[in-house]
Amino acid sequence: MVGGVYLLVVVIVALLAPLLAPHDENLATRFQDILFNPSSEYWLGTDHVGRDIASRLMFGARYALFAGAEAVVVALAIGVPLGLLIGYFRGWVDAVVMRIVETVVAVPAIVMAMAIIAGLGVGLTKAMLAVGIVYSMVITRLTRAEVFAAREELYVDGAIAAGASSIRVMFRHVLPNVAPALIVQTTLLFAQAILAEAGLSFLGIGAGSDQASWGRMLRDAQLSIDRTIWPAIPPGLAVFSTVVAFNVFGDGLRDAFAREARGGRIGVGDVQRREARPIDNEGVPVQEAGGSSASDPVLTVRGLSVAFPRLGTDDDVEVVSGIDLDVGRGEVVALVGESGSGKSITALSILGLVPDPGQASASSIMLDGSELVGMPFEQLSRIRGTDIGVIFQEPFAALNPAHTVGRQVAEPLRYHLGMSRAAARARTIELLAEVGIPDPESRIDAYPHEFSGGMAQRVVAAMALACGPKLLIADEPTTALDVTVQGQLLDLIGDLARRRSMSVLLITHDLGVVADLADRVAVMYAGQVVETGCLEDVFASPQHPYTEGLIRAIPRNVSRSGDLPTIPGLVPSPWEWPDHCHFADRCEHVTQECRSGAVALTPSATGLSRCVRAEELALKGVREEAS
Amino acid sequence: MSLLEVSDLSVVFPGGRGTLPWQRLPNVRAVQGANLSIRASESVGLVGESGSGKTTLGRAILRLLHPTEGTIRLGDFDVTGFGRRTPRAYRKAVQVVFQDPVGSLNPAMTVRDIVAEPLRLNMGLQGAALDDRSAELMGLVGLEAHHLERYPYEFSGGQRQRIAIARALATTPELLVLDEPVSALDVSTQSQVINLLERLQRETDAAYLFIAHDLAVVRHVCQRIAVMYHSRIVETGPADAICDDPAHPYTALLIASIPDPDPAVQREKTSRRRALGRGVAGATGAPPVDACPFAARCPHVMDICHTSFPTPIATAAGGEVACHLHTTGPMLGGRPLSELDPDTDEA
Repeated sequence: MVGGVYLLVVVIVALLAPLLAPHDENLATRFQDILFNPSSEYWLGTDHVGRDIASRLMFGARYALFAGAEAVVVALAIGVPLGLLIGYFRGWVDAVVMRIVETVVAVPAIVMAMAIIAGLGVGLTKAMLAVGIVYSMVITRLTRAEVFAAREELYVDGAIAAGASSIRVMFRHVLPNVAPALIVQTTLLFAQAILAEAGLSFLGIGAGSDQASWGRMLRDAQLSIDRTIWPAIPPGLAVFSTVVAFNVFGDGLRDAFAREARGGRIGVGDVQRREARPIDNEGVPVQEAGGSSASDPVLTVRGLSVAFPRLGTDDDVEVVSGIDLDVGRGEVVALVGESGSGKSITALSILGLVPDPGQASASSIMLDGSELVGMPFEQLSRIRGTDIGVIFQEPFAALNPAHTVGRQVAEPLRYHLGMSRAAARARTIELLAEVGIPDPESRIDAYPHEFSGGMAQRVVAAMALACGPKLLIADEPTTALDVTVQGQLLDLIGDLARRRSMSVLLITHDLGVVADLADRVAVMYAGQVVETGCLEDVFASPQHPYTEGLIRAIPRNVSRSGDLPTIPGLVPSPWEWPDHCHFADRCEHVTQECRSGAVALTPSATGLSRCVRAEELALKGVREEAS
Repeated sequence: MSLLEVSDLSVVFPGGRGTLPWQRLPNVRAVQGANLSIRASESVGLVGESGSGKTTLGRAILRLLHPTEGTIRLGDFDVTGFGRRTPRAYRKAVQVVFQDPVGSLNPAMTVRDIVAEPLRLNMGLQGAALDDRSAELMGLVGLEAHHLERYPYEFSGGQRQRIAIARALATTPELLVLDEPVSALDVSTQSQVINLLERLQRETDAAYLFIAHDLAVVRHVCQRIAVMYHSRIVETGPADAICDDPAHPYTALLIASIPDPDPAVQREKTSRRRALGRGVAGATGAPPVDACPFAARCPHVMDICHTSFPTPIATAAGGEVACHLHTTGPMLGGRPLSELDPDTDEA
C-alpha cells in the first residue's frame, strides 16, 4: 500500500518532470553556481557544473522508469514464450535451454550485463537491453516451473480433449494461471533493473552525459566527492527508496495473490464458555440431549456453536449452532452430514482446534468428568495426546514423511507417558501388531511412503491409540481409501472399540459406513443436529425429512429403473440459513408452521428430531427402499 | 457393430530415476492386455480401485496419452494410428467429464468461454449462433443462460459438474468418457447429477464410458460393466449379472465391500466380505507380470494363479471372465462364482 503510493508519486513526477522542474536538467542556469547548497532557488543545490539537482532528480525518475520498463519488457518478451515452450513440450529443447539458463544465472547479473554490453556497445538503451536479456533467464526459469505445475491441471486435459491446439492451450489456458507469479516477479525485477541502471551508469557504460539518470548523477557526484558529498545524497536516496518501494509493492502483491489461493488454515482457538440459548434445551431434559441413553457418558457436549467472520463484512456467520452430543462408554456414535453441514468443525471444536479465524463457544464439553471448556492450552493439548485419539481422512497428511513410522508412533509414548526408548519401541511393535500391520518388527523402521494408503491409515490408528484414549475421533477415516480396504479398516475400528471399551465419534458422509460401525447416529444439516437416535431406529424409520432424503438418495446395489430420488436444491451457505427450519426450502413436506420460527430438537418416536411434523409424517427408511 | 473397440491395449509408464542417479525404478504397467467394446448409445461402466488403470484406459481413448501396445478404434477412426495431431472430427466425437469439478474448469475463464470453446474450435460457431447454442447447452444441464457470465468459483460442486457436462456435450459427441463424474459430490447432489446423466443419454444417444470406483453408482447408469484390478480387466458382463451374480472372486469382494445403509443388510455383507477377502489389503507390493493380480488376496487361490494370467472365457451371463477357477480349477466354465461355494457368495 505504502509502496504503491510512493511508486505512484514517482510515476507522476516522471510524467510531469518538464512542468515541475524549475530549471533545465542538463544546462546550468548560471555557470558560476557550482556546488551550491540547497536554497529557495536551487531546492537541492547544484552539482559540479552548476546544474540544478532537484530538476535532474525529477528527470532521473523518467530514466529510472524507462530503464526498468525496457529491461522488464525485454525479459518478459524473451522469457515468457521461451518458458511456456520448454515447460509445455519439455524434452531435449528443455534440457538444452535450461543448461544455458543455469550458466547465465551462475554469473552475477551485472557482470553478465557488462559482458553483453561489450558486444552491443554502450548507451542507456543498449545497456538495459543487456540487463533485460540477463533477466529473461530468471523469467524463463520461473515460467517453466509454473507451467510444469499448471500443465498437470485437469482443465488443461479438458481443453486438449475439447480440441484446443497446443498454442491455444499454452496462451489461453496455462498463461492466465501462471500470470500471478509472473506479475510478482516482474515487480521485483523492475526494482533490480533500476539498481542495475544506476550501477551501469555509474560505471559509465549506461546513461550518457546528457541523460540525467540517477546513476549518472551518482557518477557526476563522485567527480566532486573531495569537495562535498551532498550531490550524491539525493540520487542515492531516490534509488534506494524506489527500489524499497518496488520490493514492498511486490511482496504485497504476492500476499494478495496468496490470500486468494489460500484455503482454510488450521490454527488453534480456545472454546469459549457461553450459556446455551434457551431454544436448544427447550423441553429436553439435559441428560437426554443428544438422544443418548448411555448412563455413563464419556463425552457430553452442550450448546457448541462455531462462528466465522464473513469475508468482506464485519458480521460473524455461525456455521455450527448449538450442538448437543453425548457419547457413552464403548459406544460408537456417528455424526453424519454432507459437506458444509458443520460435522468436521464440530469435531475440531471438541479438540479445541478451531480453524483460524473461527470462534467456538459452548456451555460445556465434558470428557470423562473433566470440563474442556476454558481449560488452559497446555492441559488441553495433553488431553488431546492421551485421552482423545484422532484419525483424519488423509493418512499421508497425518504422517511426517521424514521420520520412520515407529518413531512417530513412539513419540506420544515418550512425550506423554515418559517411556524409555526401549520400552516405547517394544510398545510400538505391540501397537502396530494390534492395528493389523503384518511383520511389525521390521515395518517399524519403514518410512510412510513405503506404505499403501490403507496401511498408512493403520499406522495413524496406532498413533491415535498409543496412550490408551478414552475417546477416538475418526473424521472420514476411510473416505480416501479403496472400498475393499475400507471394509478392513472399519472392522479394525469396531474391534478396537469393543476390545478396549473405547468410545468412538465417527464423522462421515457415508450412510453405509455408519450402518457398518455405529451404535447411535446424529444427523447434521446446515449447522444443526436434525435427528438423533439408535442406528437401527433412525435408518428404519427416520423422523426428519432430511434423513429420509439422504437414505433414499444413495445408489444401492439393487436393480432398479427410473430416476434416483433426490433432494432438490443445494445445501444453503451459512449466511443464507433462515431463522426457521433450515431444511424448509428443500423439504417436500413444508408447511406454514415450518417457517414460523426456530425449531427445537424434541423427543420423537425413535430419539430426537428437529421437525415440527415428525409425528404426523410417515417417512420411509432403508427397508422400504430396498424392497 | 460396436462404436468403440479397444483390443489388447497396454500402457506402460517408464520408471523414473531412483534416489541415486544411476538407479532406475521399474516400469509401471498401468494397463495390460485390455479388451473393451462399447456399442453406439450404450453405457459401459469401468469399475476398479485407485491404481487399477481405469483412468489410464480412459485417457488413452481420449488421446491424452499414447498406449504402448494394442489398438483403439472408434467408428472409422484408427485412434492408435493417428499421427502427432488428433483429427478435429475425433475431438468432436469423443468428449470428457473429469472427477474434480474444481480442477477441471479453468479458473481464469468465464463459463461462457468454457462452454463455447469446443463449439468455436470444432464446430466453427460464431456470434449469435454460438450464443444460442451455449444458452441451449446450459438449459440442457439445468442451468440458466445468465450463469454464462460467471466464473467457476461462483458455483457449487454439483453445478460445476453440470458446466463440465455442458461443455462435453457441446459437440454432440458419440462417446462421452466420464471419469468419476460424481464421486466428489455430496449424496444429495450426486443423485441429481446421476439422474441428469441418464436423462442426457436418452436425449442425446451418446455412448458412455463411465469410470468409477462405486459399483452401486455404475449399476444405476450402465447396461454393461467391466471390472479392472491391478491393470487387468478381470470380468465384463451385463450390469445386473455382474452385481448380483459375479463370476470373478474380486468382483464378489468388491460387491460385498460396498457398504449398505440398511444395518441388517450390512451385517450380512460384512461377514461375506470377511469370507471373500484374504490377508490384509495393501500389504503386498505389485504382483508379478505373469500372474493373476488378485492371487495374493483371493480365498480360492491355486498354484497356477501365481504363475500365469488366465485366458478370458465367455460367461453364462454373456460377458467374459479371466480366472483360473473357470478354466483350470473347479472348471466353473463361466458360471457364477456362487455355484462354487453358495455360502460365501450371492449378492
